[in-house]
Amino acid sequence: MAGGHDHAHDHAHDHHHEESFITKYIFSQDHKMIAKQYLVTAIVMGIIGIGLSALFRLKLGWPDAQFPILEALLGSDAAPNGELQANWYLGLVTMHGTIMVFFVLTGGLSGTFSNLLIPLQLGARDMASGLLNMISYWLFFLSSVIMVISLFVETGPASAGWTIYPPLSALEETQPGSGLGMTLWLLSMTIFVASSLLGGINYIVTILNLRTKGMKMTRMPLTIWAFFVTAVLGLLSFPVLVSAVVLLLMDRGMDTSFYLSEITTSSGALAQSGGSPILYEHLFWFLGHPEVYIVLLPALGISSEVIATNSRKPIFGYRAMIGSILAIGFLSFIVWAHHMFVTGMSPFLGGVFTFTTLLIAIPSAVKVFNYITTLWKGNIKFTPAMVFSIGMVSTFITGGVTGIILADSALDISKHDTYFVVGHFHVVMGMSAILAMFAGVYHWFPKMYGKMMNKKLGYVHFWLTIISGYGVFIPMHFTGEGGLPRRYYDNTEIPMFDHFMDLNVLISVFALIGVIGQVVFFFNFFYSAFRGPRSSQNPWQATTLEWTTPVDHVHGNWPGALPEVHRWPYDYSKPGWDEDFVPQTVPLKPDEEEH
Amino acid sequence: MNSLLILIAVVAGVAAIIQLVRLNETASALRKEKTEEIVTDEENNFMAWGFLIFMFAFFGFTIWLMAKYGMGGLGPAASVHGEDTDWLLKLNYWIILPVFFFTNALLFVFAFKYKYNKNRRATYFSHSNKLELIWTVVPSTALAVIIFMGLKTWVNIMFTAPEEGNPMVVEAYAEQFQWTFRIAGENNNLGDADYKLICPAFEYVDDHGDTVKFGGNPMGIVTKETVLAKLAHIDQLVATLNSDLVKATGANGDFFEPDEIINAKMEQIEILNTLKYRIESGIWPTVMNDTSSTNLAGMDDIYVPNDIYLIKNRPVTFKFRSKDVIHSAWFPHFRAQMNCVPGLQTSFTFTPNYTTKEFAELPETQAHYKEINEIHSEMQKSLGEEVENVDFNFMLICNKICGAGHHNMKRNIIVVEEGEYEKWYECEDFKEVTPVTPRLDIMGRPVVYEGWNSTSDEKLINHTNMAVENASKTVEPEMEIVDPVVSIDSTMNAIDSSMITDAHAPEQP
Repeated sequence: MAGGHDHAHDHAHDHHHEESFITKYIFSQDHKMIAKQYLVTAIVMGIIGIGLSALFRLKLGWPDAQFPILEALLGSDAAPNGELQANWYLGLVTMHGTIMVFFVLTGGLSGTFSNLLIPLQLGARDMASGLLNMISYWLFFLSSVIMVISLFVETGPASAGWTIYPPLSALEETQPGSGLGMTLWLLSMTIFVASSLLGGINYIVTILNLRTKGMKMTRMPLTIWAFFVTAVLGLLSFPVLVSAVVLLLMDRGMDTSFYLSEITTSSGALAQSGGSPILYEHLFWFLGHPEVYIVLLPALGISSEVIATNSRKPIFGYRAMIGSILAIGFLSFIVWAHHMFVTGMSPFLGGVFTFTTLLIAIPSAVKVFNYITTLWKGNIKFTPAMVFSIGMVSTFITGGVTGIILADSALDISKHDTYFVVGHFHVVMGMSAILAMFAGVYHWFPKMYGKMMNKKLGYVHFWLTIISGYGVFIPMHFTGEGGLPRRYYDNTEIPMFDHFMDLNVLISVFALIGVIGQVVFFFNFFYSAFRGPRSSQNPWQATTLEWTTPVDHVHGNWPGALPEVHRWPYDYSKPGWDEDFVPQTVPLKPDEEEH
Repeated sequence: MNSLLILIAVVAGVAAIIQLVRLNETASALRKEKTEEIVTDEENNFMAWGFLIFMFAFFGFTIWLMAKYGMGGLGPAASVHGEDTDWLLKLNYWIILPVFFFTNALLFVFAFKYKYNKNRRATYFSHSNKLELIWTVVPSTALAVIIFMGLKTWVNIMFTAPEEGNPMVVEAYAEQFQWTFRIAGENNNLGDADYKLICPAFEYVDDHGDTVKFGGNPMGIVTKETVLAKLAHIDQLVATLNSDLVKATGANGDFFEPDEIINAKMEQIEILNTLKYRIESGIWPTVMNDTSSTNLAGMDDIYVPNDIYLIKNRPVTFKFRSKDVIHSAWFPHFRAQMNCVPGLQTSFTFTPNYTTKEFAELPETQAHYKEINEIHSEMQKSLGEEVENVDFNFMLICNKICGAGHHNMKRNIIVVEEGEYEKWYECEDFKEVTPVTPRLDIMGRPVVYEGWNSTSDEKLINHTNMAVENASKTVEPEMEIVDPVVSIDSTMNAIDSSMITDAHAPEQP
């Protein structure tokens, strides 16, 4: 499958082209097709996820108004007379969180770009195992379908928040959403994790074994480093989520009591006792925190690549960037309990986790300053991908500094679970990661479809996205500072928060603008995929290997021999060369230093 | 018809956009920009200026929000440690806000300044150990300060010795969707509680043949009386179930009713017997003796189904328990928060240092509530309702998603001087000081009680207060335990509904 340089192999490839529709477009084992499948699935899931947020923002912005559209979309059980019901509000919030975190930002971001770029940027013919890769996608697809189906269950989807803490998620009598909807959620997540593990193993094996000649680990683009650490994080943390989910399923269906203790519900004293919901929280966040970096590292990798290419400058501090990716990856495993400062966990542990959490700010600061130095004295081309990457760095700064407040256990006492938290993690995950994902789509669209996306629509999309994003999430920090708890169906029940009424309207207006902005992207994406102008082989004049492949995809990526790598991927504007970029395949001049 | 028109309009709009985009592309292909640049100078300039303008707009927006809502927008802290927390927060902001503005400004200004120019070449600058060292060491130093100060405050808050300052002990009991309290009574020692003893109000005949009117045990407090009552309650339920089964049995041993019902009843009997066994073997031995410490600790506890009173400048240790799911007790003004976890007792100690009255008179609070009341009166006028003013109160609200009524799970906390507290404590006025929150069912709707045909919250509240009073009258003198509302959590609601609703039959106000 990989690394064959001989002619027989290449010849054999020519015969693989006669593929049926099914093997080419549906059950494809080609990593480029799988990447596109991931992307399209994620875009569809993203539309659902962001659409749900628009629906519940209507309720939060105008708590007393009636919206016939809600009844039309969700049915008369969920929104009789256009008034969203409390259970459905929680259901929408839960599904929005789950879909965005797992299906868009994990499956979509890492699935799309790891699959597309790992073989292309390393000079491999395909992933180590095409079959596993295909199974991984189809499991992802299956879990997406199950998750969407759970929206149509009569008792409503899972509604315990995306973290589904038991006992709320374990006992059907505590809320209707903990019935069939929750079962489907758990089933879907189990399949999702299986998909992520198959994908992750494949990425790691490919990166370690299938690099082309000359592609040393220290010559890999930062995207690949990010995908590599991401895959390792996923491999180590996702199984813990499965164990948490399986124990929860057993508590729900088999009368075990891993998480249940001393509970009285409407059906009386529960016989199950002796467990602890805190156990679930530990297991969940042992995944949950690395998950944040599973989302963020690929975003940082993509931005590194896009910023260097479009600044026409080498990324500043390549080795420091690798070091900070590794440091973030390592630290992400020892910070999970900062989500649990006020759960009654030992205060001593709280102190320890404050310390480790704040340490993460150091490698993050290094990354930010390296990005900024990369721009300094650059020659910046504002391609759509570049503007999204600059937006990404800005949101990474903004979300990073507010994280410092939340990491401090003494301050978290009065910030925990308020809108301050919602604002913080949306700036980081909902903006940084999403903006980087868009940057990736605009940048590698020519590689995926051989066509160019429309630039002007890209700019419109960017401005709508960043303005509405900051417009939604910056005010949330202030309502959170005022103590407003998250996941409140109606913020007006408690009078002390009523002075935020105007602000809530403002947030909702920006949220709706944001949704409209995504329609622009949606249109641009599908229009360009079919009708966009044909791209050249290397439209951004980049140095990495993927731009040495032909515009039209071939199975095996390079029609001839695999390229050989002679230099690192960031030789932009190198003195001694006329062109302002030197591809990795160009040998060093006799007296040239690598970098 | 309307929707068809809208559909046509949308389709036409999309088609128009497609045509425009194609036209634009054809035009640019015809122009075939000589430079072959992927981004034109015009676009590049536009975006560069865009970033600069965006930076000012973004900073302006943030500063406007800071000016209008304030950092630490909760107003002054009302507890001793809260003042330290607020100081720490301010320190953090003094560190992070300059970083936020400075770094964002560098980013956008560089983006503006180094926009593409075909006559210029970017500087090949790939690394500098000196720079890397600077931006590792400087953030590390700042973080060292933040970590040190943070941990110092954290230790002060969390590691107070249990007896320090003779704290008052109060239990907050969370359930879907309300808070109830228990104060420790004369001995300042909370008695044990066990979820197995939770029991509605009912009547039974004891071993001596006396009729006992039991006021209910909504928090599961462990005393001899509550254990005996719970056992009697279980016996009653089992007896009812058994007689149901006997009635449903024909002469030949067949059942008249469907199997599911019969099986459910048999299963219930088994569950109840197990529960009884667990109470008899696990709890009963600790309270058998009237003078056992468990019994004495629990006897004088006072159940407060209403707003709770605290004393200014006296530390209070809140102990938290939950009946059903995880809740979180969030006291915004006291900067205190702790989760209520079923199966785990958690606690938080703080010292309120303002009375409610004093705090309400602070200029910040006055301004805050003036604004709120203006908003309210505007809304109420527009709805044609009577204008009502809200007054300031310290609050306890739920801050962990717990179901449909999560947003409405609240209580007032009233801080008074010691003398006033004694008055409240002595005269038992606390049962009618403030209306209790209407109960919500799991769908988040207010519970409408049987025989109760009004849906008005206000009436519901009055009714609930009456229920509290009525119930308290039926309680034996030393037992302050009452069930304020019709318990929807009673064991086997469906099966013994007649018995329970009789005991609680609400009166029309």
